[in-house]
Amino acid sequence: MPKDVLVIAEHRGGKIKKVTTEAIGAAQSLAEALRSSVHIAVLGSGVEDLADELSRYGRQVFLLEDPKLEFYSNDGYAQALAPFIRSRDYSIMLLGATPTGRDLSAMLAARLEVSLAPDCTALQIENGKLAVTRPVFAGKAIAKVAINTTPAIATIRPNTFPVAENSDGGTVERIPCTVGDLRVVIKEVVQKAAGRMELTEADIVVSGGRGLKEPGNYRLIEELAEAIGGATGASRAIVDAEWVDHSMQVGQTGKTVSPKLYIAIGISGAIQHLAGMSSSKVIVAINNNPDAPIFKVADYGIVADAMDAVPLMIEEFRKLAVH
Amino acid sequence: MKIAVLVKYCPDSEAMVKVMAGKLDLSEVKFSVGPYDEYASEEALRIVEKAGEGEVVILNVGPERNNKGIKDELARGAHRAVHVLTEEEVRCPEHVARLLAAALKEENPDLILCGWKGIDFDLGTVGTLVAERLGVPIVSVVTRLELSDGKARCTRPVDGGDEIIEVSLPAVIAAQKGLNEPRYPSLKGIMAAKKKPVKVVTPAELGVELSPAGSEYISFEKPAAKQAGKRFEGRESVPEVVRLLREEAKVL
Repeated sequence: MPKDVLVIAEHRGGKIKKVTTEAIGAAQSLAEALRSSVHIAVLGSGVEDLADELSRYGRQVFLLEDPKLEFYSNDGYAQALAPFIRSRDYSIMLLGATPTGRDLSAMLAARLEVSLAPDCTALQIENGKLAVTRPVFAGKAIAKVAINTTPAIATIRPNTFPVAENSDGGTVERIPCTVGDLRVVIKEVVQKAAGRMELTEADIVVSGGRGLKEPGNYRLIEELAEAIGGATGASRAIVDAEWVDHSMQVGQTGKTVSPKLYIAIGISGAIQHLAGMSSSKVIVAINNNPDAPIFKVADYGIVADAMDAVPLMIEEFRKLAVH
Repeated sequence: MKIAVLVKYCPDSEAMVKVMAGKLDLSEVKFSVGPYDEYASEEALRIVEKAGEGEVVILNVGPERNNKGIKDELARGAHRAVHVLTEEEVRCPEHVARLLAAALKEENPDLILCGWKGIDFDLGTVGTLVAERLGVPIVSVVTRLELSDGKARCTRPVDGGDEIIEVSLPAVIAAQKGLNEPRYPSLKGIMAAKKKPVKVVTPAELGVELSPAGSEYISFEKPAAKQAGKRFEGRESVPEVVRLLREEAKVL
């Protein structure tokens, strides 16, 4: 009996995340191979409109609502989802490998006692089971992993899978759920940078490193990112020097990004930095040292002083009015 | 207060990982305690130092060679350690978690700290698996931790900012970079480490029988080699590169 594929949707600020539509796309391919269907679960409070939006993509959308689910917590979401999943017979569950997705998928795998493959870059069905491809050792090796549990859980790397196609309208079903007292209580949310794009999900990332010479010069990164509609990132060197917050670090002990365009400015390209950005589709590097390792991975490498080249690049991008 | 710190001893971030015939070759690789685990053990030391009392216990699962990593942690200031000795590296996170949970049940700590992920297989699941086994909550990717009255106040990053979460202890708190600056061991600490107790236990002694793993590594490959890109000189080349990004690479 073919078993369906369940996608757990992620949303923020009233919008479905792009990575969720990518997960649905990935689920559609798997369901086709399994000759089964895609189901989608969305959790929250007052998110009926999101469920309706998701019904464009999947055969069945399940809406699990409770006031305690208004903000994500691994505790609350697992309490709502575990009984629902146990009552069904899913072969595979997919989530986006965002910070929330990684946290929730780990909790669901533990609660349901099944296996999880995080941050996958490819998914297949082999012998009726899920086989995944995922980078390990910060991308220094690529592993192929077979998951034998039912369900098998996988999270997908953002910007790696194509977004879902619309299918014929699916149905939305409300699932009653009981969420007891939460052991994990959110006390406060501190907004640091209003509207700053999440690095791991950005299509374009502009990063700066020590070649910028002074903290004040990081504004060039911000201006370039703004001109092109990108997110801003940083090398470990300038994070450790406290020019910018750790949340902007790209690299082995920072974030892994996979944008279509990565612009590295004044970054030498240490192994640990490459680990965080080498799966970018197109890489541009600006560095005044022609021997900088970053040039080995750059599709377009400009040997020039950042302070000379970047203002001109900002002008050129503004002319294109790309965003 | 007793704080248990779960550490992994794995290939260093500088390590060149070799792949031969579909298998990993780690024979010439240097090992060290994972960087995220170092934030965890550093935080444990600070908590105990600030309180003026308490004990930091290091827990590790793995082969004989892991003793070096355990000693490094004792040198930094941890009081004692429990080494769940296995013949080989245990790659299955569920197995690692079962062994750690069994050892932790004997220790009964007030707080469990660990790194949010290991930097070898980049899974980030052991902390959660341990928490579930012990029936305690887990807060992950924590960048700031304050304890008071049997509760932990944790800061963790979310889109565009931070959220502050409170949990009652005991709990598992998984450390993210930014939590603290790990100290280097002093010479005095290195000498003292030689005398600190390391209890060695086997899975059998813990009463743990490991069932077949739920997933398996089929093969490993080197990532596809990047083709040489185009090189340009000087600021004058910028308009040409922008044009190529638009027309050739088609990313604009």
